[in-house]
Order: sequence, then C-alpha cells, then structure tokens
Amino acid sequence: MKKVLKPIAKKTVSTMFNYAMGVLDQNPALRQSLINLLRQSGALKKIKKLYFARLSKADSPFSHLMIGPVLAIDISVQNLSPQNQVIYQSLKNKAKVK
Amino acid sequence: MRIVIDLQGAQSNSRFRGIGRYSLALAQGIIRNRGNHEIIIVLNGMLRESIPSILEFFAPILPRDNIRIWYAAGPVLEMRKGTELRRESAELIRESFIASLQPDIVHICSLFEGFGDSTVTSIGRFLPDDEAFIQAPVSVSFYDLIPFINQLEYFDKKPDYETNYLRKIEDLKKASLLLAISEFSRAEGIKYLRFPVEKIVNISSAADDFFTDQAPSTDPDTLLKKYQITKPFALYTGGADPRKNLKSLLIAYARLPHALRQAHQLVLAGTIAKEELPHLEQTMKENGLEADEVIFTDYISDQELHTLYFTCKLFVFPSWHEGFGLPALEAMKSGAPVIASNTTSLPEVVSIKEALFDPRSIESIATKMQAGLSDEGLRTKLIAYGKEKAREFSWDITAKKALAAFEALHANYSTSPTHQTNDVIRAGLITQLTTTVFPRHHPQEDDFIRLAACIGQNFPAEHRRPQFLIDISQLVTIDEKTGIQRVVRSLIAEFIANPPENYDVQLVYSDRFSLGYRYANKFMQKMFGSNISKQKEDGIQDEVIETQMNDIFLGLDLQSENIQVQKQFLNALHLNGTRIYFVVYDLLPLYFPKAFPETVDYLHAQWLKQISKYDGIFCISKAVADEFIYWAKKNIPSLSPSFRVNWFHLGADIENSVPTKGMPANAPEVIAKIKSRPSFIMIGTIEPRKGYRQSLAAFEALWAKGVDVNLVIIGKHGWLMDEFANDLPKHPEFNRHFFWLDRISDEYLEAIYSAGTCLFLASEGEGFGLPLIEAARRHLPIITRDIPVFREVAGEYAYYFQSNPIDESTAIASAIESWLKLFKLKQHPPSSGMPWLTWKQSAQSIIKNLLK
Repeated sequence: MKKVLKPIAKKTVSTMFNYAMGVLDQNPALRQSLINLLRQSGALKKIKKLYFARLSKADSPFSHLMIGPVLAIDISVQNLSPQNQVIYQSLKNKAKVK
Repeated sequence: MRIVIDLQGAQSNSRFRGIGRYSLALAQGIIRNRGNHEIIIVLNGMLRESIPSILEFFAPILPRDNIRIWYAAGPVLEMRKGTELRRESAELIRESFIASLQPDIVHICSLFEGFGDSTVTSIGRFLPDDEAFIQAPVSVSFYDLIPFINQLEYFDKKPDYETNYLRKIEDLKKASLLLAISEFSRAEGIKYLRFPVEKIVNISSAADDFFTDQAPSTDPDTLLKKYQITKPFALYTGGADPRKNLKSLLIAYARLPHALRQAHQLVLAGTIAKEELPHLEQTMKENGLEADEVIFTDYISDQELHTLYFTCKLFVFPSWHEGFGLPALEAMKSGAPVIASNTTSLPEVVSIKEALFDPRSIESIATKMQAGLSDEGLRTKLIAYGKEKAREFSWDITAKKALAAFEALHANYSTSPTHQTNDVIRAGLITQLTTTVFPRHHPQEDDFIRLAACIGQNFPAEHRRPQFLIDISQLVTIDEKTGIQRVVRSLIAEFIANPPENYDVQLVYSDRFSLGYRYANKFMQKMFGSNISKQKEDGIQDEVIETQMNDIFLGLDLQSENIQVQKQFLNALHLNGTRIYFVVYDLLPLYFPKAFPETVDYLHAQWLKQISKYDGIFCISKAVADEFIYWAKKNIPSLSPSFRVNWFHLGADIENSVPTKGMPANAPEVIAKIKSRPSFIMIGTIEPRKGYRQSLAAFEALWAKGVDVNLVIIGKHGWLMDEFANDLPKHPEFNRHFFWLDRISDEYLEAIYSAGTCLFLASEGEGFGLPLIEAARRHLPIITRDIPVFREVAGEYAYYFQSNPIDESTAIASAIESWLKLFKLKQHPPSSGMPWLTWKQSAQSIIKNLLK
C-alpha cells in the first residue's frame, strides 16, 4: 500500500508545487508579497537554509550567490569591489536624476 | 577582419537539438578556415553550466583568449513575468560588451532564443547618444520561419511566446546578412520577410564527420538490448512537434502488412515532449499498434544515435516543414537507407525520386516504408545513393561560404564601425540603462548591486594590468613559523620584489566561513610597508578581489580546508579565464597515513582532487611531482591531459626570506654549549615521521657508551607524540647533551646552524628537505636517511644511512659513529658543493613556468 501511495503523493505534491510556481511566475506582485510574508515570519530563512543545505549536498560546481567571478547576490554595496561601488553609485545617481 | 561569433545557440536549450550542433560545427568550421581573420567567440555567463564543454570543444583550435564571456543579472527568461528589467538590461549589456570587442562583423548563431531560458539575443538595442558611434554589421544564422508561417499551430493560446517570437522577427529584419541553411529557407526569408536577395545567402549545412559508415560508435548488441529492440527496425529521430508528422508516421506504420510489421519494430529516438507522448500513444492504440512494436528511447547520446543510424534497416523522416533536415543527412552519412518527405528543404538533402513521399498522404508514407523494409534492391540503391550524396555536404564547404559572405559584407558595408574604449562604452551603457530601461521597470537596491557587479566585470578599467594573485590565507591569520610558512614568506617577498613582467602582484586570502577572497592590503602594509601613521594604517581596507581573464591565482599557502569552502568561487574564476595553480608541498599524509592524525589523509586527498580541476600544480621537488603523478593515475582518472605538473626547488638564503628576528635570553649559553662538542642538529616539527624517537634512543645509546656529542632538536610540538614531547624537558641530558628549541626565530636558527657540527635528518618522508640546502650553504656536513627526495636535493654531498625497521635506533647510532670516524679523518662527504638556489631563483623558476 505504502509503495503505491508514495509515488502518488510525490506526484501530487510536485504537480501542486509546479502549479503554484506557475501562478507565481505569472504574478510577480503576488510572489513578492509571499516572499515578504515568509521573511516577516522567519520562515524564509529556514527555507533558504534547507535549500542551500540541499544545494551544497548536490555539490554544484558554481555558487548561486555569484554572477560570473563576482559575489553579487544577497550582498551589501560594501561587498562590491571599489570599481563596482563607483558604478553602483553612478547607476543610482543617474537613475535619481531621471 | 575581426569576426565575433555569438555562440549562445550552443548554450541555450537548443544545445540539445540540431541548432546547438549546427552552431558548434559552423563555428568550428569558420575557425578552421579563418585564414587571416581573427575569430572571437562570445558566451553568455548566465548559462555557465554549458561553458566548460564549449571551452573544451574549442581548446584544440582557438586560444582561450579568443573566447569571451559576458555577464548579466539573471534569470531573464521571457516566459516568466517580471523579468523585463533584467532582460532589457541584459540585451544592452550583451550588445555593448560585443561592441567593446571592436568587431568588424558580428554573427549570431541562433537569434530565436530566450523564451524558456536565460539566452539573450537582440540587434540594434545599444545606441549610445554619440553620433560618431557606428556598430558593426550583424549576420544571423537563418534556420526557418516555421512558427511565423504556421502561426495557428505555434502561437495559439501562447501570447507570450508570440510576442517574443515576433520581436525577434523585427530584430532579424535589422540584420545586415542572413546565412540560410538551405535554398528553401533562403527562399522563405525572401518571400516572408521580404529580405533583399543579396543579403541572404545559402551556406547549407553538413553532418559531423563523427557520423561515419565505417563502424558504429557503441556496441550495437548492448544498445539494442538497452532499448529492447529485438527485431530489424525502422528509425526516426528528432522532436515531436506537429510538423514532425509523427502521428502520420505511426498510422502509416500501422498500415503495413501484418507480417512485415511482425518482423520489424519502429524506433522513435530522442526526447519526446511530455505533452506530446499521450497523443502518440493514443494514435498507436487507435491504429492497433502494440506497445512493443514502437520503441520510444527518450534522450540518447550522439554515440548511441550513430549506432542506431548504423544498424537500422530504414530511416524515415516524415516532417512536413524543415529548414534543412539534418537527421536525414546524418543517417545517409552513417550508411542508412533514407526515405523522406518531398517538401520544403528535404529534397535538397534527399533528391532521389524513389526515396521521397508526400508527408500529407498516409498511403504515400506507407508505400515507401513497405518498399524500404522489404525491397533489398531498393535498400542497396538508397544506401549507395545516400553515401554519395552526403559527400556534397561538409562543414568546411559551409564555413567557407559563410566566410565569403562575411568578406563580401565587410567590403560592401558603407561605413566602418567605430571602435570605442571600454570607458566610453561603459558610460554609454549606464546612460542608456538609466534613461531607457530604468524609467519603465524601476530597479530595486538588489538590481543596482547586481548590475554594477556585471558592468564592472564586463568592462574592466582601461590600462588594467593582469594580476598575479597569491593566496596566503594561513599566513594572514597566524605565522606558525613552520617550514611551509617560511617558504611562503620567502616566495612572496621575491614575487613582490621581482614580479612577473606586466603583472601586478597581489596577496589575497579567504576564510573558512564565507565565500570569496580579499586583497591582503593590511598584511602587505604590515609586512612590507614603510612606517606609516596608525591613523593611515587603520584606513587601509582589505577589499574584495576583482579578477579578469588572464589573471593568475597561485595557492601558495597550504590551506586545504579553505579550498573546500572556496571551490565554487575558484571554479567561477577559472571559468572566466583566471589560470589557477597550487603549490604542493608533499603527499605525506597519503603515503604515511599513520604519521598523521585521523582524517588528514582523507582531507589531503580531497584537496588534491579539487586542485587537480584547475590548470596545474607546482611541487617543491621532482620526488613530490613523481608521487603526485603516481597517485593521480589511480585516484584521479579524469585528470585533464592539459593539467601541468611542474616542480621547482626551494631557496636557501634565509636572509632574503623576510626572516623573523629575536633571540632568547639564554641563547649565548646554549650556543656556547653547542660549540663545545660535536653537535648534531635535527630540524622539523615533532611528529612521528621525523624519526625523533628513534634518534633520541640512538643518542642515548651513544651517551651511555661515553660518546661526547650533543643532539639539538629544533621544532615545535606537533601531533601524535604528546608523551614524547612532554618528557623531553625531563630528560636527564636536557640542556647538557640534549637541547630542544621550540618555535625559534630565523635569526636564532641562523646562529645554531653556525654553531653546529652536522645536520642530521632522520625523516622517513619529506616534500623537499629545506634544511639540507640551508646547511649546505653554511658548509655544514649532513647525515640523512636514504630516501628519494634527499637523494634528489643532496646528491653526493651527504652521508646516507639505510632504514632498519627492526632496530632503527641501532642503525642510527651506528651511522653517527661511522660518520664521526670519517669526520675525524676529514673524510666525511662535504656539503659545500651541493647546488642550491636563492629564493630569487626559486621564485623566478615558478614565474617562468607560470608564464609558459
């Protein structure tokens, strides 16, 4: 019985998850609200931890925190190189002016 | 002419399809036939998983410098809502990056990409507000207009895909040249896009030489068993979208005479989309086809595909719309009899009347299949025809036609592209982003950071020199005054004093907790800087490192745990073109696992396996290099043939190794005692491999016999010998005939060398044996165990003793006595003739190999 139910449950969860992700893909505002909600409740951190633990187990050759050879995701401006901090400032200043 | 090829067609989801193969093969053909033209391939850094295999593919024919990678913040796939800011920014970044390469012609291998993945293609987006700026003309590989012509089938209920596709059509119209893959697709371009006849050229296509009729690529029996193919079979390969006409193929197969079907199977090779499979299974059911009559292989490798081509009885290609029809050509080249549709481009590939059928007529397909499976005469004719016809197509012919078209375009292009500097292009990009993209899509803080990172990486500062990055992660944390740290200090001093020509030397470090490296500016200032105020020193920051292609990273410090944390960072640097090397001091934990704490051997092996994924290593002796090669043969079967195993020797001039200073208060007394009688000096951490226990026992025996000699141990308390080390100060001869000097400065070491009589090394294994050359430089005689690395370094300039596992201490004592006799007669081997390097020579030897 367990053998029969397990794949069915797996498929159901996977289908629901894919459907939910599809809905979120089509509604970025809803996705952002959900992320905010998860962040406020502290669940986002736990989910991320689980996710990254799984990633590291997968032994991915590249980091999700990097764009090319640069750490660029989930970092503060201070963690950019000096040259990139100048570019950041230039982008912000020009965006403000416009 | 500088031709820049955008090879995203080999990176996107298309890489699993004909477009991916076509893109790679065309680029390869162009490179092979480039003559005096310069070819640069550009790749999308967001699709990084696809890059290593492409680099490997082109390594034999194109310098790594000619493969450039650009970066944008992803994901940008258009099917996902909310990616507009990133996608439009990426389009500008890509075009501006290509402009910075100063091309004369840009060729896009596949324009219709980016709906379901992060491929970015566009033409004419980057338009800096500068009248003098003229972009290079753009050429595009032109496969077909199937969705455009069959909009009902392809766009129905898919408005986002339609938007994406039609925007690409508008981009396509801006191209200066289309390279059509067949006469048919050329005609389609002229008819439907109204493209000027002279701007669209048929360069045709070809099948890879890998598809040969000589022998299958894999064992046919194993392959057929794998897919449960038990009878002679008819083969189809390709996708399952409507134009492929698989439904008609199944119905036609079902209409074959029952006996013929019983004697055969139909094999549909390749990935069939999930949504298509139920329709095909339904068709089978409706037409009375049993499950074992039709085999769906799902994804198969090129090798397996070739074997299927080679072994099939008939290849059928019923598509009613193709741009070229590559599978038919591959099958012909592999020696399969081929029948195909008589529409669109296929008659250009298969032009013999007996092989063609009407794909809209089930009867026509069935008739040809029946003949192909039952008429041996026809099969023989089709095979012979196919082989002959396939010779008309080759990638060299196609590539030469492409190059001729580029040359004609270049010659006729009315205005030459203007070549701007990185600074100008970057400024133009920032202006365009802020004026055209940001007002519509409102970037958030994270977007600014990511864009800044990408722009900085794509457009390095003008006149930037490549960096020589030296990892000193351990030394930055603490100077343990070990032999390895002495080597690190000595070499960095030399690298800084005499850097590789045109390189900036930078010391860098990482930790075990966070990803990334920083410049060791504070350490540099502390170690090499002139006296500066405390305030100024506090102002020095260890900034995050930035790297570019052709930088060199040298892992000089032994920091095996850090590398496991930093491997993703190093992988990204390596992928971007930074060459990565490590210094390997020894493989002792692997050869003497019992001489180290538990798991050290495992960690060391993991470290070696990781660093073997990069460009090479520098071993500190030939013996270590030999040991690595021997070990790698067994443990790293995937080691790249281009991985370089270099070796060098260490320096002996302590005074040029940024020596540590300081003498303890009792130093004069100790030195006087050492000078008072023959003194044997042992140097090295107190740990099992060094042979201290056996040596002390040997000297105890000598003292008991009345031999008046000193034993001086210089080294810190290491591992697995706590009891021995704790008992040393309690030894009855301590500070009489026996001395233990723990963590002494280089200045004190120098004084001990001068005071001693003989260097005695009983170690069972070493990476180099630095004390050997340091002693030789001071003409201090040497007694040492007979092991390969000591023979390599000391040669005939030392007195050797053989190991005796049964009674080691007696062997040592006997060696000491024998040597003392020779010493008395002045017949001991002198060390003064031993060749040794200065640290400068040692560092230059590394640099010479690094720049090779």
